Amino acid sequence: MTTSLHTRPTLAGLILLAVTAACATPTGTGNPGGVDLRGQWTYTATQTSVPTASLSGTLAISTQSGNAFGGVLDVIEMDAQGQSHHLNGLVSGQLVDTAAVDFDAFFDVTGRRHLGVVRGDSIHGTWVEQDVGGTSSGAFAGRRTSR
Amino acid sequence: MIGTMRWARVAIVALATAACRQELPAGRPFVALPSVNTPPSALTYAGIRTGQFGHQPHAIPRRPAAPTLAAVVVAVPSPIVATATAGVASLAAAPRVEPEARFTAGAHLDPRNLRVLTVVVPPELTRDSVSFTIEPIGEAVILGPLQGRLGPGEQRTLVLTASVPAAAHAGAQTVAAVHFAGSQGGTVQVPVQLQVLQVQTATIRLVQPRFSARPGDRIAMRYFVTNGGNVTDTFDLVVTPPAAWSLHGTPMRYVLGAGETATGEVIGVVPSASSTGVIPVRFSVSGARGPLARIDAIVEVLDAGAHASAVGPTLQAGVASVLGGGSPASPVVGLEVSGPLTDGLQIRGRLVQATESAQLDQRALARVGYFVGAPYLTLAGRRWQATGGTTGRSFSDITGVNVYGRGASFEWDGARWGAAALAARPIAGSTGSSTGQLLGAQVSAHVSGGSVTAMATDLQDPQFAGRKLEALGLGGITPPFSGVTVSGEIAERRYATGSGMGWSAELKRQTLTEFGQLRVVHAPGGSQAFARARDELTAVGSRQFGRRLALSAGYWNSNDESQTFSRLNSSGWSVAPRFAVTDRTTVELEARHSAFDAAGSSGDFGNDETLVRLGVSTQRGPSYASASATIGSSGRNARLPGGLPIETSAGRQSARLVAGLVTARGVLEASASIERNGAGIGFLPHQYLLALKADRFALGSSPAAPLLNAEIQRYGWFGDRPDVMVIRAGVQSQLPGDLTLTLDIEHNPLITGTSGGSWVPVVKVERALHVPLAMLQPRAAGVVFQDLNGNGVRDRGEPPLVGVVVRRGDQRVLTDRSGRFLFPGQSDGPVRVDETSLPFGLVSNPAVRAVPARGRIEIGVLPTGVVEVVLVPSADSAGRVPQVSLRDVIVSAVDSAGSRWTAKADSAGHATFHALPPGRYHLEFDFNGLREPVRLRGAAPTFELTPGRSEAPIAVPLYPRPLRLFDPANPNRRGARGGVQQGTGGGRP
Repeated sequence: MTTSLHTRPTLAGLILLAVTAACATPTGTGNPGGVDLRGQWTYTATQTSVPTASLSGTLAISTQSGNAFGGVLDVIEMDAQGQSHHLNGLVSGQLVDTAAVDFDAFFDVTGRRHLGVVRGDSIHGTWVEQDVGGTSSGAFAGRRTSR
Repeated sequence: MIGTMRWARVAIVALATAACRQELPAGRPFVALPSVNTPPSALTYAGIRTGQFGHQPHAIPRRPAAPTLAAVVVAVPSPIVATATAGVASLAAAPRVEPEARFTAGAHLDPRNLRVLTVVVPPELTRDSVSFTIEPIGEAVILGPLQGRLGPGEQRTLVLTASVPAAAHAGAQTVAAVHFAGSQGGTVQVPVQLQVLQVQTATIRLVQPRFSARPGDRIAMRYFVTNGGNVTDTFDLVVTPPAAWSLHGTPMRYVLGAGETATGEVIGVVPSASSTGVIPVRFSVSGARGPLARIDAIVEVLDAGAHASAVGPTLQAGVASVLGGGSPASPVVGLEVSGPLTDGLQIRGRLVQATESAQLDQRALARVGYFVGAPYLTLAGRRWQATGGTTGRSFSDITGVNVYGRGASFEWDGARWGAAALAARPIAGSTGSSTGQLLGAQVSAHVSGGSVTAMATDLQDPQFAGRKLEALGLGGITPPFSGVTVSGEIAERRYATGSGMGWSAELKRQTLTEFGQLRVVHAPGGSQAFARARDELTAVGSRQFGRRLALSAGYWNSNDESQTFSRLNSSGWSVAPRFAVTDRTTVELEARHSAFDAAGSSGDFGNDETLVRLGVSTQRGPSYASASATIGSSGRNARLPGGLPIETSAGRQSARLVAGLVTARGVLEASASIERNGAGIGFLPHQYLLALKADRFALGSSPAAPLLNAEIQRYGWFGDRPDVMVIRAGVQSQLPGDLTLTLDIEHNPLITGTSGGSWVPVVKVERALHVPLAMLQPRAAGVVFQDLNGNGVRDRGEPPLVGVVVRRGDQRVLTDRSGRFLFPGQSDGPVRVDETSLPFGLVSNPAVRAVPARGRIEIGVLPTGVVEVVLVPSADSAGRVPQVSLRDVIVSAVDSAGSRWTAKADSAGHATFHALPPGRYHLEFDFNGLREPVRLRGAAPTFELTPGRSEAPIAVPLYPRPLRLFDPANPNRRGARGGVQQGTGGGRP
C-alpha cells in the first residue's frame, strides 16, 4: 500500500505534496487478459462491518477495452432493520490478470472497491468502501446470466 | 478658586457632580459659554447638566471633555473676571458685539442642547442705565428671568441661555427679542437668532411585538415609523425575513415631516416547510446617513399539528404503486400511526407491506417515501418505551453495537435507575436465514451526576459470516469537572473463534467554544463479534478562536479481522480551519487523508488518498452559493494470491459550484462539478455533472398549493462513454377529503433491468385520520370567542377566534375553525390565551369562565378601543402659558384593578392609546422629561371605555408652575433650589 503520509507535515507541505502527486502519472497497470466480462451478472453481497446489510442485484458490464471494463451496478440493500434501499452506480475496473478483476462501483462519490476472482461465468471476492463516515466492507459473489 | 468674582445678577446656577475648575483670563475674546450636549430626557429645569462641550466658535482654555454645567441667565456688566468652580459656572468678559450683527453669527444650536448667548447693549443706549425685557419667540425657551436692568457703562452685555425643543425645525430661528429701554427714553429691539442644526432620528414600533403561527400561515405585522428629527426627511424601511419567508409590503420609503408618523403593514408568509421555534423578523429604518432604528417582531412557529383537533394519534394510511418500468402494477400498502394515546402515553408505528413482494421496484417506491419492510409499533411513556416488531439497540462498543432484529425491546430511565432489554431474532436478508438470537439486558444506576451500567448480551446471527458474541460487561461514566466526562467499560467477550477481555475508555470535553474527544476501544473478535472493529482509536477536536476562526481536526485508526478479512486496517486524519470573512461568508481549507489495507480471500488490496480542498460559501438574503476546489492524489495496490504486487497512484482534481435560492415557495438549486482523475486509480478519468433541483417548491401561493420535487442531472465523461441524463419530477397535491396525492416519475438510464432507460412513474394516495381517542379521556376543552359585550359569557352572535394560541402549563394548542381548543389529560394549571397570538385590537378577558352546564371553558376576548389624550398648554391666572414641548410627557391610563397602560405624547401634546381594553380609567402624567414644570388643576381626569368603542379625545389643560429661585449668595437656602419643581415620578397632579 502506498501510504506515504504517516508523518504530520505542515499545511504548505501538504499542498505541495498534493500538487506534486496530482501531476504524477500512473506507476503501474494491470495485466492484459483475454477474458470477456461483458454481460449481465447477478450480484449478491454481504456487508459484514457494522451496520450489517445484505445486497442483491445486477452487475451489467457493457464495455470492455483491453483490460479495462465499465458498466453499472444496480442493487437492493437490506439493512439489519429489514429496510430496503436501492443503490446504483457506474462501474469502472480492470482485469488484473486472466482470473481476477479489480473494480469500483460508484454508489456515491467514493468508490466501493471490489477485488474478485473470475472463474468462467462466476465471480467472488471482497469489497471495501471508505468515506468520511467510516469504512464498510464485506464479500460479494456473482454469476453471469447473459452475454 | 482664584480670581475676583462679581455677580451682577444670577438667576439660577447649577451644581455638577464632577469637579470642574477653570480660570478665564480677563479681556480674552469671548462670546458664549460652552453649550451642553445632553439629551432632553436628562435635562432638568434647575440647569444641572452633565455632558461635553459643544460647538464653540471661540476657543477657551478648558478641559475639553470634562463634565460641565451652565449658568442660565446672567446679565454681566464688564469687565468681569469669571471663574468656574466645582458646581458653579459664571462668565468672562464679553466682547463688543456690533448691534447690527445682533446675534446670529456662528450661533449654531443642536436642538438637544442649551446655548449661552451674549447680547451687547446697543451703543445708542451706552450712556444710560437700561432695562431689558426678553421676549421668547416660538418654541424657544429662555431660561431665567426675562426682565432686568443694567447700569451705565461702555461695554454692557446681556447673557442669556436659550434652548429649543428637540423637535425644533432646523434652520435659522429667531428665538427671542430683547427690548432695551434707556432711562432717558429710547428703546431698541434686538432679535436673537440661532441656526438650529439638523437632527436626523427615527423610531419604529410595532403594534404587536409577538406572533404565533403555523407553517403556511400569513402574519400581518403593523408598524409605525416616526420622524424624530427636526426636518423633513426620507426613511427607508427594510424588513429582513427569515430564510424561505416571503414578505409583502417591504421595502418601503417614507418622506416624513418632523414629528410625523407613518404606518404600514408587512405581510409575512411562514413557509410550509418551516421548522418550529421562535423566529425574529427584523424591521430596520435607515436614513441617508445609515441605520437609525430597528426592532424585532418575534414569531413563534408552532407545529402544524398543534391544533385542537390534532389531539389523539394520527393514522396515515396510503397505497402506492409503480406503474411502469416493465413491472406489473403491484400495490404497496402503508400505515403509519403517531401521536398521544393519553396524556402520558404516545404511540408510533409503521407498516409498509407489498401485496406481491416479488415484483417490487424498491427504488421507485422510495421516491414516494415507502420503504418496504421493518414494521414496528412503539408505546412510549414519560420515562419508558417499548417496541414490538423491528427493533434493536446498541448496548455498548464491547457488548454489542447495532443489534437489530425482529422481536421486542424495552427501555426505562428512572431518576435513580435505568434498564433496557432486547429479545429478537435476526432479520433474514437476501443472503441469509432468520435463525439465531439477539438477547441482551442492561441495568444502570445514576450516581452523583454519572452512572454505572452492567450489561449482558447473547447475540448470534448466522448471516454475515456467522457473527456471535456472549458478553458480560460493567461500565461507568462520571463528570469529574464541568464540561468533562470520563467513561470506561470492561467486558468479557466470547465469540466464535475465541474469547478475550474487551475494554473501552473515553475522555470528552465540551464547552461553548471547544470540543474534544479521545476514545480507545479494544474488542476481541472485532466485527465478527458485534463490534465495529477489534481495535479503534479516535481523536477529534474543534475549537473556536475568537469570533471568526474555527479549527477542527481528527484522527482515527482501526484494525479488524473477520472470516471475510484476515486483516482490515483503516486510518485517516483531517485538519480543517474555517474563517468567517463576514457573518455570511466563510472560507474553509481542509486537508484530509484516508487509507485502508485489506487482506481477503481474493487477495490483498488497499487504497490511500490525500486531498486538499479550498471552499468558500456565502449567503445573501434568500440566496446562497458555494464553490470549492479539491486537489490531491490517490493510490491503490493489489496483490493476488501467488501474484506480484501492483501499485498505482495518480492525481485527482475536482471543482464544484452550487448556487441556490430559498424562497417561501421552496428551494431552487443549481450545481456543477467537474472531476479529473489519473489513470489506474479506479476513478473515471474525466467526468462532469450538471444539476438543477427544486425541493418542495410550491406551485402557487396558497398554502395548499401542490409541491414540486424535481431534479435534472446530466452526467458526462467527455467521450469516454455516452452522456446520461437523469430526470425526476414529483408532485404532491392535496385532494378533497383530506387525501394527499403524490405522483413521481423518473427516467434513469443508469438503472439496469426492465425499468432501465424508461420512464418509471409511481403514484401514492394517502389520507391522514385523526383518531379521536382523546375525547374519551379527562381533558380541558373550551372555546375562545370575541366577547362583544364584555360580559365574559359567549352570547349568540359572538364569533369564534381561529388560530389563537391557548396555553396550559407547558402545553399549547391552537383554536380550530370553531374557536375550540382541547388539552388532553387532567391538570390544575390555568388555561389562558396567549395574548401575543391575538389579532391587533383584541385582548383577553381576565375573567376566564368555566361553564359547568356546557362542560367547557369559555375565554372571551375583548375588542379594545382607541383613546386619545390631548395635553393643552393653558394660561394661569397671570396669563403665563407653558412654553415647553410636551413631547416627552408620559401619559398613563390606570384601570380599576391598578393595571397601567402608557402612551407618550408627541410634540403637539397628543398621546394615543391604540388598544385599550374596556374598563374605567383615570389618567396619570409623568412630566419628568419637560424642561419647564407644568401642573394640572383639579382631580385626575377619568373616563370609561366600553367594548369596541373609541372615546372622543380627552383634553387635559396644563398650567405653568411658579418658579422659585435659588440665590447662590445664600446657598443654605436649599429649599429655594428645591423649589424649582421638576416633574415628579408618577406625575400625579
